[in-house]
Amino acid sequence: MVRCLCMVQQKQAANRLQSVLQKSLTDFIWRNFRVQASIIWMPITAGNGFTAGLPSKSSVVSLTAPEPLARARRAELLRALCDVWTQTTDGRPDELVAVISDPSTAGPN
Amino acid sequence: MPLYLCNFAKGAIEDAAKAPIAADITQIHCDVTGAPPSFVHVFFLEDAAHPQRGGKKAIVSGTIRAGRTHEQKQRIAHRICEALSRRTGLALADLAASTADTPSSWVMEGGEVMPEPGEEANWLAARAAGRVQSDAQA
Repeated sequence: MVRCLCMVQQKQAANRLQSVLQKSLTDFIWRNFRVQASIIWMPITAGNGFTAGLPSKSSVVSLTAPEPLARARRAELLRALCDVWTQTTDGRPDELVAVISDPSTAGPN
Repeated sequence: MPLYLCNFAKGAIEDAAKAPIAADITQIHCDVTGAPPSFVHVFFLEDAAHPQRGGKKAIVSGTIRAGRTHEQKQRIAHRICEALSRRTGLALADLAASTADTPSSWVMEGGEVMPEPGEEANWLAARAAGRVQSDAQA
């Protein structure tokens, strides 16, 4: 099981597309790791998210890989994860922080 | 990245205080590390299960790129507690702040793997150049 935490600004398109994104992320995790996903969706309510000290448009998607990843493989997966997100939301890459951690150490999730 | 999560007890932080606190945390992180403000995310969570408050009224848990010194991390935590106390009126004993390291190579922002600490200027320049190129192609 791969745990995937999504922190999403409540007013961004990504939050309205929750069910589509959850399916896309579940598919992404199965395609790349052959394990089930547990998606944790955490909306950041308006007035509670800031980037550079200003109201944030950034979402954070953080998952822990089931096994340690080589640098090049991780970069490839991060890029694919960003593509899944931006294609689904029609958003800009600037609006996503993607994290893929090794299993020994948890990231922000 | 960094991502600072501020988890607070219901009513401990007024809405009007959040923007100034976020600005303080951003300023503190940039002062201590030299990172650009555009990297700094601050999210507020009320009575969330994580990060655990451990009996405090508010805690700030930062996930930062690995490579900062122990002294830098201590200074960040100390100054964040001071800022929170000043903005909220809460006693320092009711507050806590800490950071945890994440390798830069584990994080992607703006479609690019994050730079190592100290390599931000080149990274930002390359990103800006890439953006100009892709805008021109659009």
